[in-house]
Order: sequence, then C-alpha cells, then structure tokens
Amino acid sequence: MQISYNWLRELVEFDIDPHQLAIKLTSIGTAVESVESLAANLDNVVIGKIVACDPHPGKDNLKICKVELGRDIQMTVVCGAPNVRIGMKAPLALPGAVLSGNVTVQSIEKFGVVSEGVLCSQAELGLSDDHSGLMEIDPAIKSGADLKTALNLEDHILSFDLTPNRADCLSAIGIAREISALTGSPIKRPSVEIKEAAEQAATQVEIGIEDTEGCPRYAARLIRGIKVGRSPWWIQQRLLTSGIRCINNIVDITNFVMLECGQPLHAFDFDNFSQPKVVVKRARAGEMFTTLDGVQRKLSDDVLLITDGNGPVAIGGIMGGQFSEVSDKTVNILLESAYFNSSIIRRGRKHLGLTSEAQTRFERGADPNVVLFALDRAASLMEKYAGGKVSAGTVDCYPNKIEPLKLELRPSRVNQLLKTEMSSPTMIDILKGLEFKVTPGKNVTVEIPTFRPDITREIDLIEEIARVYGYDRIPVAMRAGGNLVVARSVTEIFTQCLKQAMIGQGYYEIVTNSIGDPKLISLVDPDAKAVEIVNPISEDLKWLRPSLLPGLLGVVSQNVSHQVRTVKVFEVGTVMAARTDEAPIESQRIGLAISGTDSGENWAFHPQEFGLHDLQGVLDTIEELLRFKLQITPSKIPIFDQSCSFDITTDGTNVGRCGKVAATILRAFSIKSDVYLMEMDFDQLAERSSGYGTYVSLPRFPAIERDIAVVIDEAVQSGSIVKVINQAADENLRKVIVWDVYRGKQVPVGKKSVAYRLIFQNESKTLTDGEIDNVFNKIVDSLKGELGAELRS
Amino acid sequence: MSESSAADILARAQSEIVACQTPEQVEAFRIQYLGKKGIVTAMLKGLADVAPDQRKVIGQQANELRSQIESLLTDKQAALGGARSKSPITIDYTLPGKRYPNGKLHPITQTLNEITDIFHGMGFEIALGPEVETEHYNFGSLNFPPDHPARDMQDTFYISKDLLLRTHTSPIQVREFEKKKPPVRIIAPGRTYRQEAISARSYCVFHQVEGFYVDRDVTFADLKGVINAFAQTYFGSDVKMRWRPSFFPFTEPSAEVDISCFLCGGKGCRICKHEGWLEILGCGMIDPNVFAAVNYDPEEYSGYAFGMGIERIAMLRHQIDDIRLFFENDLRFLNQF
Ligand SMILES: [Zn+2]
Repeated sequence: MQISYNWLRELVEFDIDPHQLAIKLTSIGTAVESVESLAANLDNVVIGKIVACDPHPGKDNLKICKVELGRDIQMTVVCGAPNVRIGMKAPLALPGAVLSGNVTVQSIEKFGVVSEGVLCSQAELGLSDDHSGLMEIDPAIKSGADLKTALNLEDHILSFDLTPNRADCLSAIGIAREISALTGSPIKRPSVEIKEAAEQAATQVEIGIEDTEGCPRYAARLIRGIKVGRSPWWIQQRLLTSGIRCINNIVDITNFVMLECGQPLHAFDFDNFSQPKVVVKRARAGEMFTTLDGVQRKLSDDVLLITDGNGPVAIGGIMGGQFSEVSDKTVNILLESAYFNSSIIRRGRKHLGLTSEAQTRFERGADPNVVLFALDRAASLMEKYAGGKVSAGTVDCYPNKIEPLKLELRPSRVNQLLKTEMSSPTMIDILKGLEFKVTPGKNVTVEIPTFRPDITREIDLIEEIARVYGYDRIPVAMRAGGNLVVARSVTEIFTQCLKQAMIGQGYYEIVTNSIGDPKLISLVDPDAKAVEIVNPISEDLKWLRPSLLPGLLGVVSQNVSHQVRTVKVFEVGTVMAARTDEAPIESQRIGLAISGTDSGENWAFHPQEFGLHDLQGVLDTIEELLRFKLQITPSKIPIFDQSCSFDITTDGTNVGRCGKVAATILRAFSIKSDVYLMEMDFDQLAERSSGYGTYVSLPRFPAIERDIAVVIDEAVQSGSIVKVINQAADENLRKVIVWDVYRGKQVPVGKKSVAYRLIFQNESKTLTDGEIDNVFNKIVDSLKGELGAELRS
Repeated sequence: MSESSAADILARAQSEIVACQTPEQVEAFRIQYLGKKGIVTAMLKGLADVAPDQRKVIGQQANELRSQIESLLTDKQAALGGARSKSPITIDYTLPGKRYPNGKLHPITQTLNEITDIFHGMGFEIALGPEVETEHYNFGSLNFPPDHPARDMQDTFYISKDLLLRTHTSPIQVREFEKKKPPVRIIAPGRTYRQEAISARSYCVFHQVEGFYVDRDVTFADLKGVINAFAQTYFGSDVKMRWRPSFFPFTEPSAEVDISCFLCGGKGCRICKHEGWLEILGCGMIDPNVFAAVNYDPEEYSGYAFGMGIERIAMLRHQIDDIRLFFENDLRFLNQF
C-alpha cells in the first residue's frame, strides 16, 4: 500500500521528514519499504493553455498547437494526443525537463515544424501509467504556473510492506494512527456534512441479509441526480499517489474513502436494479455472473452475492457486476457500505481466483463500525463533486451489533515478559495512543476498537505495548539459564568425521534438489517407490528422491560438460520411500560419484582412470572411521554395468551398493566418460559407529616382516589368497598387506603376480627366525596346495 | 695388533680418501681397505690368532674401524655421485606443490556448521525433524488459523490431503515440546520446501535453522541477548543490531532482526540495497497457543524462538547473487569456499 506524506500531514500533526518518518514507522512494526519523491522529475514543467490547434501539414495524426504560458508568451508545440483541443489546459514540458524514461526535452523539428516543448500525459510525467491523452489541468489554474507548485506535487510517497495481521493500517487514517501513537498528537478526522433531500431512503430501497454470518452488516444510501465526470484534481492526486487508477468522480470517491478510512464502498447504478431491493445471500454452485472487468465467472456457495432480489448485482466484498456498474449515463446510485466476514471473502477469493483492493481489506479484517462514517463521507463528497442529492437517512441492516472486546491487562505480566520496568501509566498512554479505551486499575481494562480484530488476548496487548515502547529500549540480558549439558549424538559426530574424511580425500560435498524428475528417477531405480507431490511446480520436479544417485549423475553430467578432468563428489541427504496410507519413510544416505582421472592436474603424478578400487578406498576409509568391516559382493543391480556391480554389506546386512554406471544410463544423462557410483544407508552406518576409539597398548616386541609374491590364475581373487594365508598362519601373523599386483614380463598370460608383506608379532617375546620360518613354510605349502600358486623369487 | 695401529690405519685412510677424485680411485681405496685381502679384512681374519683375553677388545676396534672407513667411502661416493652421473640439477622451487587436492564442504554445510556451533556453544542441543510433516505440526500446532494463506496449495507442496513438505523448521519446536518438559533449549537445522517457481532469488528447496528455549522466566531480553551474541559472533563484534516488530503466527511479540551491513558499514551498497541494513532472521516470544497445544502452562513457562534461512546467510557472507548456484554444484563454484 502507498500513502502520500502530505496526506498524512493533513490527518495528524507532526514534524518529521519523510525519511525519518519511514524509519520511525518501521521501528514500531509499520514497515515502510520505500520513500520516493513524487516530483523529482517535474522541474521545467509549466501549465499551458492551448489557444490554437491546427492540423499538421506533414503528418495526418499530428496537430500544431499554440500554447499560451501567461499573457505574452506563446510557444509552438507539435502534439499527437487524441484529446488535444483549443481551450484546454495541459502540462507543457520545456526544454531541459526530464520526462519518464529519462527523456530530456529539447526543441526539435517534427516533420518541418519546430516543436518548442512537449505537451504531456500523466504517464510522461511519471504521475501514473495513464498515457491515453494529455493530462487535463483544472482551467482555474493560471497559465504559466509551475506544475509542481500549482498541483501541490512537492510530496513523497511512502510504500508500506505491512504484515498480514495489520488490516487496520490499510488506510491513511490507519497510518496516521500509528504516527499519533508515536507522537502523541491526535488524529484529525475529516468532518462530514450532508444536506439531505426530503426523500426518505428507507422508503425507496429495502435491504435484507440472508447470510448474516457472511455479511453481518449492510448499509446503503441513495443518491439521485448525480453527474458522472472527472474527479477534482485533489482526489485524483490521492488516488494516483496510492497507485489507484482514476475512473470517474463516483468510482474515484469510493476508492478515495476506502484509502482514507479503510472501508471499501461500492456504487451501483440504481436504475439497473430490477426492483428497489438488496438481498445478500450465498451464490448457488454453478451460477454464472459477469463481473465489471467483463469476465464471466462460475460461482460456488463459497461466494457471497449482492442481489436485487431477482438476480446478482455484485460479488459481495470482492467485485461489482458489469451490468450494475456506474457509467457515464448513470443518474441515481445506491452507495453500499458493508462489513463482510473475512473467511467467506477468503473462500470466495480462492474459488474465483480474484483479488481486489476491497477483497484484500475484507479478507484481512475490516471494521464493522466504520461503515456509516465511510458511507457519509462518500455521500458528502458525491454531493459536493458530482452534484448528487442525498436522500434522507441511511438504510442500515445490522442485526447483531459487533461490540468491542474487553481485555484485562496485567502490567506486571508486561514487565515480566519483556524484562522492562515500565509504569502502568506508560502502558496506558501507549494503548490510548492507539485509540484503545483504557480503564486503569491494578489490572488495566482495555476496550479493543473493532478496527483491531487482531487483538484478542493479553499477549496481543503486550505486543502492542512492546512495539510502540520500542524494541530498542528493551534490555539485553546475558545469561545462560537452564540446563548446560549439551550432548552430541554419535550421528552428529560421525557425520562431521565422515564429511571431513571425504573432503580430505579430495571429494567435494554437493547439495542437490530433493525433488526430482520421475523419468530419471525410474531410469536409475526402476522399482522405486517414490513419493509424488500433488501440486508440483512442473512435471520434471514431481517426485521426492528415493535415492541420491540421479542427483549425483546430474552433477557429474554438468561438470563433465565443463571439461573438468577430475569429478569427485559426495552428498549426505534424506531420501524418501512411499508407503500406502502412511507418512513416507525418511532415511539418510551417503552417495558419491567419481569420473575422469585421479589427481588429474598435478605434474608429479601420472593420472590414472578412476575405477572400482577408488570406491573401495572410500569404503576402507569409512571402515577405519567406524571400526567395523564393510564387504562388497558381486550383484546384479540394473543401474550398473553387470561386470562391475556390487552390494555393500556388513555382518550380512545390506547397507548399500556400488559399481560402474551402465552405458544406457550414462547416455540418458549425456555423460561420455565412465562414472562410478556408491550409495550407502547413512543411518545404518552411523548406528554402528562406536564414536570414540579405545586404547590398545602398543606392542613391546619388534615386528618381523616377510615378503611373498605368488603367481596365480587371473580369476583368483586376492581375498581368497589372504584367506589361505591367514588359515595357514598362527596368531602371530598380525597383518597382511598387498603391496604389488603385476601382470606382464616374466608372468605367463592368464596369470598375475600378487605380492604380500606378512607382519608377524608377539605380545610377550621377540619371535625367532626359526618360529617364523616354520609358519612361513606352512603358508607357502597351503598356497601351492590349495590355490596352485607358484612362488616368485 | 695394538691400539695405536688401528688409529694409524684410520688416519692414513682419512688422508688418502681426500686424494680420491674419481670413482676409480674410490674403488681402489675400497679394495685396499675393505676388499677380500684388504687391511681391515685382514685385521678381522687375524683375530683367530689373537690371545683369547684380548680378542674381544681388538675385535671391537676392528669393527669400529670398518664402519668408520665405510662411512668415509659413503661420504666420498655421495660427494662424487652428482658430478659423476649428470649435469647438476637446480631445484625448481616455483613448481606447484606435490599433492592430491582436498575437496570442500558445500557452502551451505559450512554456514550451517558455523551457525549451529555458535549456538551449541551457548547451550543449545541439536535436534532434527522429518521433512514430510502433517498439517497439524506444520501449521495447526503453530497457531496458523485454519484458513491462513500459507496453507494454500500455491505456497506449500502437498503429498496427500494431510501430508506436506514442511515449509519451515518450526514444527520441530512442537515435536520437541511433546517429548520433553522445560527447560528445553534446542537448535534445529533442516531442509525446507516452498511451492515457488525457481529463480535467482528463490528455490523450491532451502535450509533453515530453528532455535528455541523454554523455561521459567525466559524474557524478550534473553532473546535479544542470544540473538545479538550470535550475530556479533558470526558477523563481527562491531555490527549494529536493529530490531523491528513483525508478525509470525507462532510468536508474540515477534521481531525481524537486521544487522548493519558488514560490507559498507551501514553507509549503503549493492548488497544491502543501499539501506545499510541486512535482514538476518525472524524471532519472537513463543505464542501461548503453541504452548497450549503441547500442554505447557503459559503462566508457568515462557520461551523464545527464532529461525533463519541458511541460503540467505551464506549469500550475504559470500556475496552470492543467485540462489540456484547452491543446487547446481558446479565444481568451479564449490571450489571458491
Ligand atoms: Zn551495504
């Protein structure tokens, strides 16, 4: 919402400049988003009277005008506006003036005629977006006068960013009330005087409310003999500075009064009613109605209708009807001022998908007791500016008066919650400043005006006091209080350790969207039970990820396309699995992806293509962190190349999968290089993590190493060799390290040479050569006997 | 064999080795002393002829002499080595270091860790909650009226009539209150969702940190204390704070907190949109209706809660102007933090 600074100054006295005012209002919760000078660009614009207007010989749609700026000055201006005519007054921008769009006016030749300035529309002056024709200036204003001064355009526009609870601030008086609370000076409400005609309104129109819950109050006045025309400039200006388009004097006045006091009004062309009657009721589902924007709308029983007893004339509180709209020919109007319940307006808005200034105010919560003031204020303006004769009396249908709420406030509670030392009178002054009626006492009794439907409890009053008192004046406490034990869970510790370990090995952590493309997700996991979003933002962001792998592949794809040689990424995140009629199962996983070459960019290393063993390196790291064993065993997982597809298990429990991504999947992600993926159930890992290590005393006797290299069939896995070694050895064999795998010269085709370092150690003595030779020979015999291995010297 | 003769042999060897200038001369030296018929070898072989009572002493001397001559040889070989094989090598100290590069934590994790660590240090315990929530936990229990606009399909992702993707981390408050009796002091990070078109300024997924403390006599002043302490720890002790009244259904009184722009010191710049202030979080005293939903007596207990957007804080800290970068995971981006 926008309100002009000058307008606020008319409603309440204060001596604060616009920028300071914005800061002060923001500090009490009436947030000002911006302050803009209205007339920043209006230098060198004067008021000109058009005294001659002749066709341009060179161009059909242009006119050559003589514009008078005072007694002796005339200028020649070429103008193409449709409404240019002799006798009218319009703004003339002189050379040097800067028009909207940063156009500087110059004296220039247009089709052979020199134009000495520009006659302007409101849009060109930046006053509104109306570029339909020249801005019409009141003929009473002197020619040659400076536009800014003559039209009182030295003003600032304050744009408010109000929180949804503050419906009371959606008007100039509402904002003035906030200023009044800040400064202590009272609001000056406009006085209203109507010279009523003899005709009694009540005899001319009958009002009935069928849905008193949706419409607790409906009041109307009858105004006859109005002349529809342009509004006076001061009303136009109020609307313009609030960003509302000017239509005609009747509609403008209803909008003006709404801006002034927050009460939406509606003017009907009363002659279009089929009978002199107003009935407020719910629409029938499926009923059709054309609103004044020309759109035919299908209604439901969530929509409140204003009818004339026969058919609808407006959608209550949201928008008027096309048929009963005020037009140039309108003579008699029925002026509505009603109070609609916020929840019916909300449901109606949702059903229709239709918002309006009126709807916003009713939905946030209007004031049932400002209805008559607004009605009279508008009627008096219509009397004055549209020549209307206001029939006597108001027809006011208000079956159950809405009374102000009374609340008890405990001053001690205020100070207890805010840790302040405010006195009761200070609190009372603040509440009175906001126009609350207050009865002092040990507990203060507060009558809440009906324009504050948001205040229903003591805590709401405490907030009002706190914000006006000033958050900055509330002290800053420095105490811990409560329990100081802040345990860290094993999962937290493990998460941090694991992430640190991953980045230490060169992996980048990634964070991907947990909402994914159903096509890619089902490609990666054909059997995935993914959770589907009912109202997705698009078809390719519809499923909650059941796995981290599609996201990882997406990131690999994106980076490989940038010629990155080494892609090593991991993610720890939530995945979801759908269940019927139950909330999905959420679990944490860790996933990683590698592609390209390791150490790709360092001169000291020879880059090697990534392979399964790089994934195994990560597994070994995790084993070390967790202090338990992880195993991989071949399996047939669809996403992986069948020659390189593995389950990851621990103690027989499946905790994940890894392998080389199948070519078909790579194609779907437009990846041309090999990718290796791993995904594990993070919760299962964390659960098994023991947290902290337990010390084992260091060996006191030296270890003895023996190397052994075996030449063996290609198909024999190192794991089986190590197993045979361990079985043949005694408890003194502490560790078996694979230190070389070799294929090539001196090794027959179909065989490989694998070299092991065996480490022997005993806790209570130094082992002798003889003891070790003994075991070593047994190992050699077993390798030969069980695996057909040959020793390589 | 006497003591003086071992010393004599060593002295002679020391002077002879100096004279060796070629590998051939060094090899001749080696043969002369340590070869099969060399002086030291002969000395060791001769031990058998020595009287048993002297054998040990002489043996030690001979072994010592052997190792001294060996080290003379090694030093000489090393001194000649470089000159012998190639032309001299100059160390190129401008080459990049030899290493496997580190990875990096994602900037969101870095930001999240730093924030939670600060609160952890102030006595907040970490808690987590589910990303799929019920209407009750996400809205109803947090005092959102039944027809609050945030519940609209336009703002919230639904997966069924009652289940939705949490729009904030605040449901964790209620879940923790249900589990515990005051005092409860918790920091709760997590992923949250909003049904919004993806743009430079908004993404359908984002992260929040929620903090809350409920106990006897917790006041607005305590809230100010903890938030100011956080902001000055995180952004620097010289930042100024601005507390603005605001509105959230689950806190009352509510506030939004700004810090003076740490880039321009409050003078106004591009990052603070020339206002000099940067909004960092929303907070307030927990609304009595939230307590009512979990059977805490609002007359006995009071508490505060606050929440902040991690992407926003990370964007401020690193001057990132497009939120989508966080979720694209371009390594050239991730490598910058
Ligand atoms: Zn700045």
